[in-house]
This record gives sequence, C-alpha cells and structure tokens, in this order.
Amino acid sequence: MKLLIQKPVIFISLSAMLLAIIAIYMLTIGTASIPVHTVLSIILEKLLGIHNQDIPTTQQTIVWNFRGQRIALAMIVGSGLAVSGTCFQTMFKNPLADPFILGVSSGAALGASIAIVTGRTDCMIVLAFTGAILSLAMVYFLGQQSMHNSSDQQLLLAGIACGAMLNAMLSALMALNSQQMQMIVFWLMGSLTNYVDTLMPVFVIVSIGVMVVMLFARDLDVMALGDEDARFLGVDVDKVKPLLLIVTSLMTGACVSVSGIIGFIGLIVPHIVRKIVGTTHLVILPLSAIFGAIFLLLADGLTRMVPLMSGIPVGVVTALFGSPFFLYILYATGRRLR
Amino acid sequence: MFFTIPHKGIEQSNIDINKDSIGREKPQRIVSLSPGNTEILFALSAGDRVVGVASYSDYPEDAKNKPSIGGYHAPDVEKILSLAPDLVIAMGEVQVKYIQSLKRAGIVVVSVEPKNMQEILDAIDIISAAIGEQERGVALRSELEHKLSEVRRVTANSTSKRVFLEVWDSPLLTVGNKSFINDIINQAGGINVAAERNVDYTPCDIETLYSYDPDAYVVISHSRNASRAFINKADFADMAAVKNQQIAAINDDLLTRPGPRSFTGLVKLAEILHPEAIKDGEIK
Repeated sequence: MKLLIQKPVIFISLSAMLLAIIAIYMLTIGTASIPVHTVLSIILEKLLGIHNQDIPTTQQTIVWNFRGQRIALAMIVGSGLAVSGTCFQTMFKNPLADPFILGVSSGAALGASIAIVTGRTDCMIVLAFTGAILSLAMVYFLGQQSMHNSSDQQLLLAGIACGAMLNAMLSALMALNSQQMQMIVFWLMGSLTNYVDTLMPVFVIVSIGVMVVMLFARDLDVMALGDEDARFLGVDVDKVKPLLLIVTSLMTGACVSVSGIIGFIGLIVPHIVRKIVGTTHLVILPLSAIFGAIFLLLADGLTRMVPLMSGIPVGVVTALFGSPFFLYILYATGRRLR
Repeated sequence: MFFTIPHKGIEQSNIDINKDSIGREKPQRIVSLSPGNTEILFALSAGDRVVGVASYSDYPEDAKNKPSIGGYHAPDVEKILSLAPDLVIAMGEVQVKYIQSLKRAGIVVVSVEPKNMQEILDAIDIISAAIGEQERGVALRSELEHKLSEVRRVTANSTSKRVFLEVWDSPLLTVGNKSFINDIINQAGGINVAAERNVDYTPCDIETLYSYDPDAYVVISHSRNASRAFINKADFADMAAVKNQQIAAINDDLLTRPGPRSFTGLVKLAEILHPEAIKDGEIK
C-alpha cells in the first residue's frame, strides 16, 4: 500500500481500473433482469464492434442507452463536483468549502424551479445553468471588489448571503406554487434518472474544466500556502484565481443543471483523497475525479440494488452514506493523531 | 355549534351532520378551503352563496371571481374570519391546525378529504346536507354514479390495460397506490403499473418505465402542450404504448382534484384505455 501511494501513477491507474470495473458492473444492474453475459456482449459489440450473439433491441436499448446514460451521467457529475470541491478548498484555504459554497446550487435550483412552475421543462437544463452562472457572476462581482488578503472571506460571505437570498426566493416560489411543490422537491433532492439529451455538452464542459484545473495543479500547490506566498513564488494569483473560479463554477453549474443538487461529494471526496495521497494537486485532482465518479456510481447503484431505496433520490443517498463514512474517517484520523 | 368530520370516519359522522342540519337555516356565507370543495359547492348550485375560495379555484369560471383566502396548505385564517362565513368547507389532515383556529373562533367547519371515487360521492352527501341542498345532492350523486356504472358496464368485457401515468416529466414522477389517481385508473378499467408502490407521487427511472412496458402512457398535461418530447424519442420506439400509439394527455384538474369533474376524468381515461369499447361521447 505504501509503495502504491509513493508511486502515484500506479495508484491512479489502479483507481481508474477500479472505476471501469464498477462502471461495467453497474451496467448489469437494473429493474430489467438481463443476464451478465448479455450485458458484456452488448458492451463488446458497441465499443469494439465484436458481434457474437443476437440480442433483442429492447435489451440493447436498456443497457446501452438507459443504463449507459445514467452511468455516464454519474461519472461526469461525480468527477466534476469532486474536482471543483478540491479546487475550492485549496483556493479558499477552507476545509468546509464545497462546489456549492458560492451559491451556484441555489441559482441553479431557482432556475430549474422557474422552469417547473412555468411548465417549460424543455428549457429546464438551460434555465438551471443560466441561474447558476448568474448567481456566480453576482457573487463574484459583489465579493471581489476588495482584492486584498481578506477577499477570500469576502467572496465566501457574498456566496452565503447570495445563496440565502436565492433560497428564500425558491421557498417563496414553492409556497406560491404549491401544486408544483412536489416536482421541485424531487428536483432539489438530486437525481440521475432523468432523460437527459444534453449529456454531450455537459461532458465537454466538465472534461475541459478538469483539464484546465489540471494545468494549474502546480499553481494550486503554491496557492495552498497562502496568496502572499504564492505571489512571492511567482503565481499570478489575481489572474489564476478568477479563472479557476469561473471554470469550476461552470463545471458545477453544468452538473447541477442535469442532476439536481447532489451534495457531499464535493466536500468529502477531496478530503478522503488528501488523507490517502497527501497534498500534491497533480495527484489529488485526477484521483478526486476518479473517486468522485466511483462514489456517485456506488450511491446510485445502491438505489437500484436495494429495493427499499429505489424511491430515494441519489442526492439523499450520498449524504446518508457519505456523512457516516466521513465521520468515521475523521474519527480514525483523530485516534491516529492522539 | 360546530362539527368536524375526519375523512376516515365519513360514514358515521354523516349521521351527525344530518341530525345537526335539521331545523338549521341554510348557510348563506360559505368559504371553501380547497379547489375540489369549491367545485362540489358550485356543482350543488351553491355558487352564489360562496364568499371565499382557496387559490387555484378556477372552475367553474365564476369561482375565479370569488375572493381568495390563500392556498389550501396555508389558508389565511384572518381573511376567512373577515369574510364572516357561517360555514367553512375544509380538507382533512393537512388543515387540522387551521380548522382548530376556525372552530375556536366559533365558525362551523365541515371537513372532507376524498381519497377515492366512492369518497367523493360521500363528500357530496356531506356537503349537500351541510348547505341544505340535499335534493340537488341526491341528483348530483346519481348523475355521477351513473357515469361510474356506465364506465364499468362498457369496460366490463375489455381486458384491463396496463397504464403508466406521467405526473411530471422531469424529474419523471408517477403515482403509487396511495394516490387518488390510482383509484381512477382502476375504475376506468386500467392497471397502474406502479401500483405496488405504497406511496402517493413517486419518482421513476427511465429503465423501470421501460421494463414496465405499459400498454398505455397517459400524461397529466398541466395545461401544457400534450405532445411533450421525451416519450416520443427513438429510444422508446419499442414500448407497447408507443407502438400502438396509446399515448394521451388529460388535463391535470380532471385527475388530481377530487370533485365532480373527477368523473369526467374517469370517462376520458376509460375512452383512452378502451377506444374499442367506448364510442365517441357515448358516456355523457
């Protein structure tokens, strides 16, 4: 284990393999009972063009289109949120920071709710994304006015205040449109089950986002020491920070707009990864992406494997199982330190 | 004098109502705390005596002109009192604390919350007795019972269709067996594919919908365009409902709002499910 952690490339490759295995396993799970070998044949045929048995189109549709889309969504959203979380925690030097801390989720929720109460669910993703971006723009405009040492706190406060305001508007909207309250509530709890036809744009935004953040991995290492130190060491903090903020928020906004609010991944995955492999962002960032994807895949898998949980949105599951797991990690580390 | 009928004990409380109502003046200022109750009051020709209604009371047209007392989940008690009602027709559980406040203020409250078709008929009995329109109540009840028995008669020889009812498209929601709509589906000669779920509204994922493979797909339209995109995507081409073009929309008020129009919804649903058995407009 120690050797693995000292050789991050091996560790990252093994994690990626684990992710691939879990993803394939998840393709075999669902309400329709399709034998494992059929699922594997479908995967081989779709990916590599190897045709070895005739499979009914209904099974192909279920495995490749429905399950495939759901799993792709889980991986994209999971890694997007985890990478954003890592980035936010480092930039704000705050262990409590998560991708939603700048009010992005509240903006997205308001946008989606407007789509629901006006009956324009066809524009829901666009409205949610617009809401996320507008709230970010507002927070950033109001929060970054004083670019001195305390600007981080300023930004966080602006994010929290803005989030509170947007949440209040959301509550008002729900109270005034009680008929649509249930739909909004289910959206807010987060779900990967929607039929999404904008998977590609979200994938593009998240992968470009992850790549951009990776390019600044070394800068993030330095920024973790403090903005002053980073400036001293030659990082153009005033340029890098806004850029990363925008990139990560775009990622978060894209994820939230298709999945609703899935909490906790952006908060705990970065912490767990740091506990395993230390503080080098070139290692933490890809691992966060991989573990974020694994975590959301498993949480979503639970809702499909355990009949009792089939009606529970995945956003609830992540918190339900994420919190105790995280508490255990905190407890275990605390004991070791003592 | 006041009385409250919890919706579960409708049968027994019914007797008290009739006793209490005898020798009592017809209430002249009635407030309705739900859109469904408003519709029942208007159907009993008591519309002109209604002085306040819950928001969303949009049927019949005249109901829109009545003063609003707020949403059914949070009626404005002060506003209700200011209307000086001599009778308030409330819902059950969800309004318990408001009913208590009203009763403390000395207002007569009758509460009904029908959970299935039969209970709508019972609610009509209760309300008609409370407002002194027993005769009209009997007529309305038999008119609605006629619709119900007609639907049963014409669908009796048809095989039950398996129905998926789309409450909302994104997130995809359907109805479990606790929903009022579940009963309408059963009465209309259908089987709710999600009936094994012991809930009201419930989320449903695409794969589950696909493996239900319903014979008919009914959308609650929410006053929107009926032909919404998602079920028409190529991925669903193999579903029985799509192949047989059994996709239809029904106005939400006809299904989600327990009242006289639920029986119109019932007839509509029966027509959708059993087009071979019911000729156009056969059941009036």
